Amino acid sequence: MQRSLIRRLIDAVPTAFLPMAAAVALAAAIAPQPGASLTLLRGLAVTLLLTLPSLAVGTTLGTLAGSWAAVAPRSAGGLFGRLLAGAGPLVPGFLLAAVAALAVRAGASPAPLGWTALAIPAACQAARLARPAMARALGPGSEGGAVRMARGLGLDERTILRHHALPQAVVPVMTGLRSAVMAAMVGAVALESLLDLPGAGSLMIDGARAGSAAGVIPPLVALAGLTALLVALGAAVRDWIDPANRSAMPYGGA
Amino acid sequence: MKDGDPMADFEQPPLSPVRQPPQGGPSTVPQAPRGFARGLSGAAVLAALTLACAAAPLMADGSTIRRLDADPVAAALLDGRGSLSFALLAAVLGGLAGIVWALLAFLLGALRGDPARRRSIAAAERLAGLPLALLVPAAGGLFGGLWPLALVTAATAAPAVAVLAHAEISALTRAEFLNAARAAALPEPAVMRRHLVPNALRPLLAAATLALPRVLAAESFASLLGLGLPPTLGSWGASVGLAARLGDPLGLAPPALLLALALWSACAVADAAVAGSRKP
Amino acid sequence: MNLITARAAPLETDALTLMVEDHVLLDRATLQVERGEVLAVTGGAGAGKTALLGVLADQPLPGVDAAGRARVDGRRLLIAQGGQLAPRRPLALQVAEVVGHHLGIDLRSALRRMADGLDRMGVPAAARRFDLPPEQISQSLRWACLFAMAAAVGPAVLLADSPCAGLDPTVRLRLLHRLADWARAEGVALLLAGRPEDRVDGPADRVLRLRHGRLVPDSAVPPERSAPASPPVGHEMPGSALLRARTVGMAYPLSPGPKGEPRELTVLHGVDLDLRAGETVALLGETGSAKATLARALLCLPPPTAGSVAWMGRDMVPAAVPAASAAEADQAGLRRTRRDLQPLFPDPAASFDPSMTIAAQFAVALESLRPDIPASQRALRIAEALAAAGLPDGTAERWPAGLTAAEAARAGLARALLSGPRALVADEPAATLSAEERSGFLDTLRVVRDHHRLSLVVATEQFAEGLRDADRGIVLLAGHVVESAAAGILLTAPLHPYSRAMLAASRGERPALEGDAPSGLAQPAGCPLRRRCPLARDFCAQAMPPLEEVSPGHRVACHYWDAPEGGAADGA
Repeated sequence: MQRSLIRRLIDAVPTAFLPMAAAVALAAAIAPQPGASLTLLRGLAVTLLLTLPSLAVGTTLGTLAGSWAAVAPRSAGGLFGRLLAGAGPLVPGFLLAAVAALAVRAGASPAPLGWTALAIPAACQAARLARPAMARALGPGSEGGAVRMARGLGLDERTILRHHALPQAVVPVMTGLRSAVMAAMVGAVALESLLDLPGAGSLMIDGARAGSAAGVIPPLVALAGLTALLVALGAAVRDWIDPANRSAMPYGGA
Repeated sequence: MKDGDPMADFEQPPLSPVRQPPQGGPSTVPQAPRGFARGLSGAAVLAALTLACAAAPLMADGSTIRRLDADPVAAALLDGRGSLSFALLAAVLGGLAGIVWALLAFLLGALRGDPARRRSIAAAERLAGLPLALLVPAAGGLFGGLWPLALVTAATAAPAVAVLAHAEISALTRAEFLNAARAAALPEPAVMRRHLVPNALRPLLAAATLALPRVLAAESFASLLGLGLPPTLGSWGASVGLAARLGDPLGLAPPALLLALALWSACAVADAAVAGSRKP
Repeated sequence: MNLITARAAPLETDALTLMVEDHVLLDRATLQVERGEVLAVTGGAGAGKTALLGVLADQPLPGVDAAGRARVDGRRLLIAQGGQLAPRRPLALQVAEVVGHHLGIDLRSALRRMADGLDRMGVPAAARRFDLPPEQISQSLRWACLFAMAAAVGPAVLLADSPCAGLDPTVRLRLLHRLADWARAEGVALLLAGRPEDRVDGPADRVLRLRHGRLVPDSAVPPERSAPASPPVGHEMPGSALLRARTVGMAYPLSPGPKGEPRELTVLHGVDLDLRAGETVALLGETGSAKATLARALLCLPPPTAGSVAWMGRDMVPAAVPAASAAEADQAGLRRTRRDLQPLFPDPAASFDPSMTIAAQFAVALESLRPDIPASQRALRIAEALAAAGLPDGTAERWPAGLTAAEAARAGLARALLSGPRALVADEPAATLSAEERSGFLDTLRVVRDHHRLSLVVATEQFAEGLRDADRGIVLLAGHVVESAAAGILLTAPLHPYSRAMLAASRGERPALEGDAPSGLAQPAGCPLRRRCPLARDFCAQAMPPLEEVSPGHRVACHYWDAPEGGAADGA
C-alpha cells in the first residue's frame, strides 16, 4: 500500500499539489483581504475532510451493495443495491445538500448530515457501475468465463464470489471513480455554501457573489488540485486492492 | 459401446432457428441493447415534463404569473421552463462544440500527422477530468447574463462529448466495411460520403446527448447557489436553493423532485443512446 | 470395443437427453469413457457440446433440462470454454486455491505438484511465472497452466470444453497430445469437446460426432480427405501470370526511439508471388506469419510499403496509395484492376455496412466497378451473384445485422462475384464457420471457382484443408517464405520442419515443434523457427536461410532440410 501510495502521490505532484500551492500563493498575492492564503489552506482542509470520508464509505458500500444486487437480487442487501443502482443520477449531491441545509435549519447536526449527503451519490454511482459488471461476471457471456472455469475446477461458491466475481465488479467502479470525485466536489461546494462551512468551496462562492475574480480564481484552482489529489488517492487504493500487485509469494523450490 | 445406434443416420431438420453464438449458453435470445427500455421511459418522462412545463401558464389562474404567490407545484412547473430551455440551449451548444472538437482533431491529424490528433484529444481528456461544473457559478458571479452563462455551461460539457465522439469515430474508421468499399474502387471521398458519414451520425448524436444531463446539473447547481440563471427566468435550482435558505420544505419538494426526475431521465436517455450506438 | 472391466467406467451416460425449452439439444446420448481413455466429441457451434459437458460436470447450464442417466465416479474437473482464469489474480494463488481445495495441501506442496504438471505439459522451467496474473501470460501458457492445474489435482474424470481453441494449430495439437499422454499414463478418463476443424479428435482414442442432436461414432474412414482427389491442374501457361508480386514488403511505423530516430516494424520481408490464370495458391501460416498482411498487400488494401504488385502487367501500388493525388488515368486503371481482383474478408459480417441493405451496397459496388452495366440490369446481376453463392432471393433485401455467420460468408462471396472478377484473394474466408457450415461454404467456393475459372489466393492456417484444392502452397513464417511447392508435394513430403509440423497438426498428429512462436517484436536473430525446431543447430542463429530450389518448383528456406532427423513430424 505504502509504496504505491507514495508513487501515486509523486505522480500527482504536477496536477494536484502544484495547483494547490499556486492557488495559495495567488491568494496571498492578489486577494483583497489579509490572511487569504491561510483561510484558503484551512478551507482546503475542510473540503478534504468533507469529501474524503464520504467518498470512501459511499463507494465501498455502493460497490458491495451493487454486487450483492446481482448475486441475490431479492435479499435485503440486494434490494438496497438495486435501490442505489436505480436511483443513480436521481440524487445529485447538490440537491441532497439543499435537503441537508433544510434539515440543519430544522435543528439537525450538520456534520453527519453533510457526510451522508455526499456519500449517497457516491454509493449510487458505485452501485450503478458494479451491478451490471457483477451480473456479467456471473452470466453466460464471455465475461463469465473465469467464474465458469472456477466452478468447473470445483471451487466453492464463496471463494468464487470473493476472488473471481467481485474483482470484476470493482474494476468499473475504480475506473469511474474520477466522475464520482467530481460529483462529490460539486456537492461539497454546495454544502459548504448552504451550511456556511469555512471550506474552499464557500470561499469561491463568496468571491463569485462579490463579483471579484481575485476571490474566485485561487479557490477554483485549489479545488481542481484537490480533485486531482482525490483521484490519485483513488488510484492508490485501486493499486492496493488489485490482487495483481500482491504477488510476493514464497514459492521457492517449486 | 453402443456404436451401432440404428437411428444414427436419421437426419433431423436443423434444430434451432434461434441463432446461437459460438460461445455462451443456449439460453441466449436476441434482445434489445441494454438500457433500451430505460432510455425509452427516460425520453417519455422528459417529453412529459417539457409539455407540462410548457402548459404551466395555462394552469395558473390569473393573467399575471407571480411565482411566489402561486402554489408550489405550479411554481415549480413554471421554473421548469427556464431550466429546461436553458439546458436545451446549452446542450446543443456543448454537444456541437464537442463534436466539432473531435472532427477538428481528425482534421488536424490528417494535416499535421497522427500525434497532433492524439494531443488534441488528450487535452480534452485532461479537461474532462477537472471539476468544470465549478466554473458555472464562478462565471455566473463574475459575468452574469444569459449568454456568457450558456457558453460557459456548454464549455463544461464539451470535453466529455469530444472524447466520446473521437473514440466512436476512430473505431469507425477502422471498420472492415470501409475496406470492402475501397475494394469496390470507390474513391476516398465517396467512401466517406456513402459509408463513413451515415454510420457516424448515430454515434455522434449519441455522444452529443451526453451534454444534456451535464448542463442541466451544472445550471441547477449554479442556480442553487444563486449564481445561475437571472431570477426573472426562474429555475428549479434557484427555487430549491431559496427554499433551503428559507427553511421551507413545502417549497423545496416540488422543484427538487422535478429536477431529480429531469436529471434521471436525461441520464437514462444519454446512457441508452451511447449503449445503443455501439455495435452489439 | 466391448471392454468388460472389473470396475465400471468412471464416466457413463445412458439415454441422456437435453432439452432447451422445447428444442431437443441432445437426443438419447449413450457414451462411456474408461480409465485412461481419451474420447473426443466434435460438433459445430451451438451443437450442444457445452450443455453436455455442463450436465456431466453437474453444472447444468441455466435453461437446459436433462433426462436420462449420467453417472460420473470419482473427482471430476471441467475445463470451461475459453480457458479464462481470474484475470488479475496471481497464478500461484489460484493454483493454491484449486489444488488446496481438492487435496487439502499447502501452497508450497500445491506449487510443487503444479510444477510436475507443467513438466508433463512441456513448459520449460524458464517460462514458469507463478507470480504473474493470467492476463500477463501468453494464451498458450495459460492453457498449459490450466492443464497442469488439472494434472496437479489428479481427477478421475477430466472434461475439457473446446480446449486450446484459438491457439495456433501446431501449439494446440502439441498441448492436446501432452494432455492425452498424461490421461493415459494416470488412468484418467478424458473427454475433449471441440469443433471438428480444431482437430481435438487428433489425440483421441475414440471420436463421437455431435450432429443434429445425436452422438454418432465418427465413420470408420476418418474424414481425412488429404489425398488430393487429383487437384485441378492449373492450365499452366508459362509467363501468363495474372498477378505478379515482386519483393513485396510491409512495415509499420513505431513510436520514435530514444534518440528520436524513426523506427518501424517490418512484418513482411520481400515476398515474390505469381498467380497464373485458373490457378489456386494457398498461403499457409499461423499467427504472425503475415499471411493476412500479404493477402491485403496483394489487394493493395493497404498497398505494401515495398515492392510492386502488378495485375496483368500494370503496377497497382502507385495508384492505390491514398494520399498521392494520382492522375485520373491511374484511378481508372485501378478500377479495372479492382474489377478483376476481388477480396473475401475474414469477418464477413463486419465487411458489410450496417446502415444499408445487402442490395443497396451491392448496387453501390456494381455501379462503381461495372459502369458498363445499365442500372436496370443491376438487380438481375445481384440476384445471379447471390444465387451463385447459394443464397435465396430474399437475401438482397435483408440487413447485414440479420444475417447468420454462414449467410454473411456467402454474401461476402456474392459481393466478390458481382463484378465478374478473374481472381479472388481470400483471407481465412471460413474463419467464422464451423463443421458442416464450413465445409459447405468451402465447397461453394470451389464450385464457384471452377465454374467461373477463377484464380484464387487463399490465406489459411489449416494446412491440409487449404491445400486440398490448391495447385500450389506457400508456407510463410514470420513474414518470410520458408517453403513453396506444388500442393501434392506439400501434402505428402514437405521438407521444412515448420511445414511438417503444420501438416502433422492438420492431421491431428503430434507436431515436432516445442514452445510457442516468438512475438513479432522480439524475433530471434537468424531463422525465426530455431528455438522451436528439432533440426536447429548453432548455425541457424547466424543467418536467415535463403530460399533455395531443391527440385523443380520446390523451394525451401532451411539450412538443414536434408538433415536425417525428421522426428515425428513426418507423420507418415
